[in-house]
Amino acid sequence: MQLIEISDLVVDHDPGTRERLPVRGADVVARLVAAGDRGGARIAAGLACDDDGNLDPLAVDRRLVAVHTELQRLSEELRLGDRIAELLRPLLAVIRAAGHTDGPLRVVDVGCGLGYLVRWLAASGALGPDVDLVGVDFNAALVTEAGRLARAEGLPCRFVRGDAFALDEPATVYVSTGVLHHFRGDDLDAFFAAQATPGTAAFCHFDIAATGLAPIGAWVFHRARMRDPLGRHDGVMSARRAHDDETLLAAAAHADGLTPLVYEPRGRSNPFCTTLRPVIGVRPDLLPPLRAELGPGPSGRLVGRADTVGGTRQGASAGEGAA
Amino acid sequence: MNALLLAALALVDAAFAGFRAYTGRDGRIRKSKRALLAARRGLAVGAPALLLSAALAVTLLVAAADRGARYAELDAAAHRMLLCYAPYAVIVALSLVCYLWGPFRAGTLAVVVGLGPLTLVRPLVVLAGAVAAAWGSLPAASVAAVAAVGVLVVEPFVHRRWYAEPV
Repeated sequence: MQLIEISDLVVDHDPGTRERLPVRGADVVARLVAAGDRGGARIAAGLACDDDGNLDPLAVDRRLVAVHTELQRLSEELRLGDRIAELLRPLLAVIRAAGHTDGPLRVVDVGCGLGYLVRWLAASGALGPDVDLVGVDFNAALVTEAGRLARAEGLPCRFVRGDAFALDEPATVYVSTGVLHHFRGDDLDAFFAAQATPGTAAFCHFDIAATGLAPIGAWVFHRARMRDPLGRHDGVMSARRAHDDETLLAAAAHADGLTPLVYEPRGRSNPFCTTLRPVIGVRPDLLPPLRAELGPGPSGRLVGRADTVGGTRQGASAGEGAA
Repeated sequence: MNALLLAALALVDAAFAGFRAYTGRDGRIRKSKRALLAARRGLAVGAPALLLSAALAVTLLVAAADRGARYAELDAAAHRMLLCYAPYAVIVALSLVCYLWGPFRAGTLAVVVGLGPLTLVRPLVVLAGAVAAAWGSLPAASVAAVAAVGVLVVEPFVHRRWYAEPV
């Protein structure tokens, strides 16, 4: 069975103009049926269509905003903000110390959705006042809602609709949460390759850890926490689509000049605690000070390809050698 | 005593049910006041439901020919119900302590193996308690049925009344 998320099918844009294109409801259902996903097809068949059989864009947007708002609850419960701040704080500290950027440090959240991570970082002040927090997403409805929520709370962050890798000013650090599993093969390689811009010092992309427990845990968690069947369907599918560590490290190696590492890799950590964990890329000169800044415990959780291949550990510093 | 402990559990559960009805509907970051409001709404819905089952129990007691025997029958049913709910409540409380005051990895553990699955099985635990209470006693069965329905309707009612759309 091909693994497809319904939310990936219900919105389409012209890649050149970014203008929204109509999506036929029957086509969405047919793709899910062809993928062997009859449950997903039933959910898609319930989406509102106009007289021409195209999905009602306003209804789709409302549904996606509602689903992402429910999804935010999971990020809150899994303390996603704390998790990313645990790594971004020392990472930005060593970037500051190394003088890697002339202007403000810029953290760009790729595929930010409702921008929970950016808004949490802005609200908590976890990264310091000199960090420009930007959320970017292609979906206009989600970006608009993210901006509305940020304004409602007066948070110092901003949201942009478009391509995160084509901003006027590149990111010092690219981050994302729950985005990687949407890319496969060459697209995943290209995602990482796009981050090898001169001004970029690092990336830190969180996604579901591809453990055997992940799909079961995702089913329990989404069943218990989410009401919308579309959100439940896509949540479980996300866990089933999660990439293993080797795939992520191989793809991350396409970001030229950045050393790829996984934090808390599969097989090294308690799968109940490590439901989400990042693949990281850093400029090689930043890696020793980053390890020092993290301290001996957390630094040991940061491993590269040489550490993960065959599941044998070759020393805490092998990540540097893997570059 | 059994009835009082059950009533206390039902009220705490109603407050959490109100909270759950609200969560996932508000995208803001700072929302503790709104979460407390939702918990109060849960209480406001749960308390009348609890009063209804209490009123039914009192009516059955007053109407009984042998009030002492009826009281003992209902108290025994309440005790059986409590034996079902107390372990669940203790595990939930321990998970919450771990989630709220533990380091964030411990919090994740509490959510993944505790609070998430516990929320999922909650309706089954409520029904199991009602069946245990109803076992061999028709008057207790009617009170337990009203109480169980009252407990289970709080979250969907609060959700539909106040949080049908994202706020």
